[in-house]
Amino acid sequence: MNVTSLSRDKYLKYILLIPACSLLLLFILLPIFYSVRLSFFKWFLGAPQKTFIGIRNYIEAFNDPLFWTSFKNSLIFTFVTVFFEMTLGLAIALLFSRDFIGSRIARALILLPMMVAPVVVGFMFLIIFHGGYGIFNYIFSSVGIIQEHISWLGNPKFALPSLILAEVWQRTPFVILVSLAGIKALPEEPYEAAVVDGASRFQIFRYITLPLLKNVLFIALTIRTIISLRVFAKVYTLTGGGPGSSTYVLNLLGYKTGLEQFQMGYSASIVVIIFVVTMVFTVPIMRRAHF
Amino acid sequence: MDQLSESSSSSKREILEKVLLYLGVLVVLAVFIFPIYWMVSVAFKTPNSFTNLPPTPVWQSATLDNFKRAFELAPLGKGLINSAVVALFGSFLAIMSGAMAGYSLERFDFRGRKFVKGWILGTQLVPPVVVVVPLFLLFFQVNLVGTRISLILANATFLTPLCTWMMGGFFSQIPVELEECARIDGASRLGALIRITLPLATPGLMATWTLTFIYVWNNFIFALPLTDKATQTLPVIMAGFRTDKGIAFGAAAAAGAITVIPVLAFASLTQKYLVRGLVQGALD
Repeated sequence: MNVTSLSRDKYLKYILLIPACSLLLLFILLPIFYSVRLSFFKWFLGAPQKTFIGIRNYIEAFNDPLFWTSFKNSLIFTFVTVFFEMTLGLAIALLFSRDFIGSRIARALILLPMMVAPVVVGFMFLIIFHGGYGIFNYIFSSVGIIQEHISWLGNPKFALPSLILAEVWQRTPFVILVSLAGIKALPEEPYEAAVVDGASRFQIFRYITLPLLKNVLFIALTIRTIISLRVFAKVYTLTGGGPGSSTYVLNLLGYKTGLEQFQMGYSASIVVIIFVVTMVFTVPIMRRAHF
Repeated sequence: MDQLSESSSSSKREILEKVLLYLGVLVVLAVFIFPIYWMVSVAFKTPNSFTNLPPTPVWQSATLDNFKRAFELAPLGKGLINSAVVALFGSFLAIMSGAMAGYSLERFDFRGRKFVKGWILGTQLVPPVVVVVPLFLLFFQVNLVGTRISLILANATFLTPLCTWMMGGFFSQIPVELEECARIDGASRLGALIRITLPLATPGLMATWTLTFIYVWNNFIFALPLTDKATQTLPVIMAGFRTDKGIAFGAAAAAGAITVIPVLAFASLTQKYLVRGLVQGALD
């Protein structure tokens, strides 16, 4: 090896980090600092100057009923979707981990919802939930669960649950996939010992499978929480935040106040709050998962 | 006699269990496939037949009218090209930067390595909405709003941490000894990386590429503000079908099918890698 190649090798580790670090610095870190700074200013996009107003954007947010509606909806949406995705996902993974004819195809088909663009998922469920000729009304009324057709997306009582259903439909396969991978990697010995000891199926699940899957499930929980808190496209197309403000979530509020109403400072304060909320909810879960 | 009845009852139980297993699998699959099937079938139905309740089967009145109408209402052809360009270049850029960073963090030990790694992966926690306004203003300043470049950069940046993590994981599975052998034979470290490690990491590279391609293809939150009429990607065009005057359901379903089908085709071609990538994307 000659001297130039040695020195090239010496710096290679840093050179290799340049593209990733510059992208992240320029297009994530810098914008975060910009948002934080902007949140202390009053600025209407296009207006010549920004006025420093301290924390008044935050005070305005905390006095805005739409903020609290969005805040509440974001939390309900995240808790309920993540809860159903985790429980259903694990249950279906246990079912699909058994040996059956066509199991490989079934395990591939179940992943399809993950690949559909969230915008399109919104339209799929617009068609399904339609108050007049939606198939959902048809099935429910012919089974006798509902007496008359319901406008699922036009009724403030049902709009958020409908949105939650669409999200659970799309994201449960991710939990299935991750849980299946975890189940496949389970060791056999504890199960043999448990059968010898005459443990019941529930006991085996509760005291062997669940503890062994703990880390995999925490990883899935972390990722699901992050993604649920990011919901945007699906709300945008399925309900647009309505009827009224019944399905408004923080991301929609942050986006619309900024890029549709051009109250840049106010929008910045909303997105800073979103960032803090995301950290508060995900970091404690993440700490329990070993990635 | 006792033994016989016991074994027959246990085999009965086994049969019952099998039946329940298949039934359960079929119900689950039906639930998760149905919405996709339903949208595609609405896309092929005539406007009169898709409001029928009980629904009539697609093949009774299959037509391409909705697709024709969708192409008239919206620039879907342009959208297909824009989506393909942005997804190709966005995923390529993300993988390049991610693979390089992943290799550096996995194969070298240096001061600050842990910090840089934690910092790169930590950015995955940042919600896209936090940076979307600043990115819009930044790209506006340099006249890049409305171009595909801004969208490619935004998407590639947000997928760089995932790629760093996935590619780092794949690199760590390749024995260092192979590279060392090449270096004894006179190859530089970079040469060993390009000629030995990279080819061995091809399945991992494919997995990462498939996953990132689909992410960029489906992205909406960056595409909405950063594109204009000429550079709109399919999800943005799709969202335009929801108007104040109502929704042309048939055409929207057709546009939805056009958005989804390329991804499903791509995913089925690379399925072997994709499943691995999805798992690797979540587990290390």
